[in-house]
Amino acid sequence: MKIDKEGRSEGAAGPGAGAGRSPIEFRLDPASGVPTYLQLVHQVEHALRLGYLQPGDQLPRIRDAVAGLAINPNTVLKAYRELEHKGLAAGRPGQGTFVEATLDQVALPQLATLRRSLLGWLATAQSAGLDEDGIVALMTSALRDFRERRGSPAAGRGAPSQTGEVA
Amino acid sequence: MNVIECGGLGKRYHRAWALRDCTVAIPGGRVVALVGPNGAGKTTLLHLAVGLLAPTAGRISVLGREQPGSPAALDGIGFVAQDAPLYKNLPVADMLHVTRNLNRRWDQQHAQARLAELGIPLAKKVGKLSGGQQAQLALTVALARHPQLLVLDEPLAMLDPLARHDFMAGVMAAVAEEGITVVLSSHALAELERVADYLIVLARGRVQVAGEVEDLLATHRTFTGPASQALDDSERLRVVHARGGQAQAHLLVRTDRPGQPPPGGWESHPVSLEELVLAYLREPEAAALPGPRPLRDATAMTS
Amino acid sequence: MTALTAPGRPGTARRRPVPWPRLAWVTWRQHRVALAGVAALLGGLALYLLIMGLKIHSAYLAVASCHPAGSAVCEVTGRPFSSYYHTAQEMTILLHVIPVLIGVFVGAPLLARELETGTFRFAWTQGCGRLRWVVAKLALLAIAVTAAAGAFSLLFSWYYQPFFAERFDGVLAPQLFDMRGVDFAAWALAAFAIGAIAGVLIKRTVPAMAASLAIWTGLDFGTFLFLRKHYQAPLVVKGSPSYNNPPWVTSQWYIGPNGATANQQTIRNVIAHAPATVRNSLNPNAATAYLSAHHYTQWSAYQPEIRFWHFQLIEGGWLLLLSLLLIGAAIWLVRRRA
Repeated sequence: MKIDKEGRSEGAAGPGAGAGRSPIEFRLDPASGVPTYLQLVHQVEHALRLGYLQPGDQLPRIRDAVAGLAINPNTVLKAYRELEHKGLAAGRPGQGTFVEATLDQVALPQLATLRRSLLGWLATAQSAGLDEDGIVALMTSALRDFRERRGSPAAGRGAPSQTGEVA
Repeated sequence: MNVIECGGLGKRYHRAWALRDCTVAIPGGRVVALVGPNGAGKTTLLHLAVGLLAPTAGRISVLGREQPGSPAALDGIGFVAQDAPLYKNLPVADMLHVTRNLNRRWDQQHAQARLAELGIPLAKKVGKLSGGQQAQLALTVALARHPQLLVLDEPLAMLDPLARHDFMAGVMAAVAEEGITVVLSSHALAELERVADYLIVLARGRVQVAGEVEDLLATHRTFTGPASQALDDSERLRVVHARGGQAQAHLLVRTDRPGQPPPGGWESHPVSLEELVLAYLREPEAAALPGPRPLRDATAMTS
Repeated sequence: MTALTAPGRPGTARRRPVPWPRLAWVTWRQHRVALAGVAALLGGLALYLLIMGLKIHSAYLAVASCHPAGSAVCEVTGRPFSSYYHTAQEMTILLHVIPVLIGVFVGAPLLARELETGTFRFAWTQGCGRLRWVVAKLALLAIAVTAAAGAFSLLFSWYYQPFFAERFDGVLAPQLFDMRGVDFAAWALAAFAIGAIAGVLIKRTVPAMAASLAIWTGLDFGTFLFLRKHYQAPLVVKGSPSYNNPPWVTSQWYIGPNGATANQQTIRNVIAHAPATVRNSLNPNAATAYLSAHHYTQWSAYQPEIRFWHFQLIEGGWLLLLSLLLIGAAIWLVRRRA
């Protein structure tokens, strides 16, 4: 990012212009409570789902990601290692990290349908007397059960809270 | 290699101890955040590490086994003091020349490239640059020496939010490119969480917390539950700080096993770095320090 | 611009000390305004001395070649020379400020400004280390200042030479002694050294400048009023010393008929009883002759001209020693300051 005489930065000229060779650029949500590295992982997965990233595309260089977000390089490294572990990306020595596989892409119309049905369910839940936090709690526990049934390891730190047994 | 290692380090001014019984081993390859309230001793510790001060008690070594102020230490450490002191009447280009002539190792191309990228003109007088630009210039001359360790004393204090972001982005880019270790002091806790992977909390001249951020966050949780149970349960738990109303209490506890479920009746929440630091600052008697281990081998500490 | 050394991995740079020429450049670059100021001041005054000196020398030639000396014609020829002398006397007083200006404007801010603005936290954490840094600053500027002052005082000696030739002044005269020989350069060096140590101790530029001014002035006055006359035991003579080569009379007193020193009041009482012709006489020797007739003899203590270089070396010597001590102390303080 160029900084002019008064110390203000110009906006990026366009998508991809500031990010170098990667089709995507990371952003950070500091208030979300989700650890930074996980946010990056999710953003890559989300970009894969929506088709912004294709196999063979380069993920943002660590230096660029770090310069853009002012985060610790180890965080980016950790995110990329997680993506490697999931089989979604692979590092090429001296070149960077590249997308290897893709996630099931959900086409935009399908997403729209899913969204609509979710809104319908939410309306039902609300009329049943469940408030927002109750809905979140119900969704979280349902997600957990779903995950356990599918057999993939639960990411303990990603969950916003665990409730202990009520005596 | 430990970039800074101190044993029982203390510094006294007249009758007051600015720093006392400081024993830490800061491992290399990290971004180390040194936090604490004003007057806690952060600047004192950093000045001891770079050789601007001599210890009153204890010992300190830097970059493995060097003494602060020795030629090897001076070569290997880049320091930006509070308020980024520079020679304000010189133009930027001459400031670079002065630094080049005061050092053994200097990369003129790197310095010029960085300044060009930042849009800082070489002919302008340093005093006429904005606060953010002066901080960036101070950082540039430190980085162009290619140090192993970069020490920054409250680098963000006088900077506006954009300048702060750009400054930290520059530091992080240098870490990504060259693998330098960074020790920076700050009291802007929220910004440090993104950046730091090792934390030291100083309060009243003593080290309260020292450890990898990942470990600290994994071994601390906030338990929320009925206030009536708080007293009983807190005997079984290692409570750092307790707060709450009449019905509901929050206990910030230290656990040995990450992922350990809370006792019955309690909810467990993860802790942010800011919460953790504030809790310890409010409890002067509490401490989270690495256990006894040989000072030389910091890697054995990570669990 | 090429990199000075390859940006290699740490440890590849040899641990040679940073060379002096590089540190010299830093010293010059940082203080070139002050140095330019001193150069301008000395240069401007040197130009003045050169121009006036040439005039004085030619006026002196006119006087010296005029025969017979003391005639009315020669008195007229000598008038320009005399007027130059009056101007020169004023100039001499003025030129005394040069050393103290050097001390105040070059010496005092040298270290005080770094300590005051906090730039010492930058300078002392660079690769060269504190010791080399401070030695480069102090040694180089001390040498520059001393050399410039020395050259200037040579020019002054040439400028004033005709007045010594005509015996208008003696070389030991207090206002001229410290402008010539090695003394001027020694006082300039001392001013620089006092400024430097004041800067390190006081750590603020303006107070350090004020303190240097006060200390140097006190030292200067103390020396020419009290100390200098004691470098060697003065010669004592009855009456006044002969006026062939104007000596430096350090004190005069009267011995009364009883062999003891007579104080001023006694002398005044004796004169009061003298006849009006003696009291109102224009001849300065009339009163002395009267007192002598009444057994009050005048005695003088003086330092002869021939002791000029002896005194120069003594004074130059202790000033040099003091300067080296103060500069050494400043270096030690910088090293130690923690």
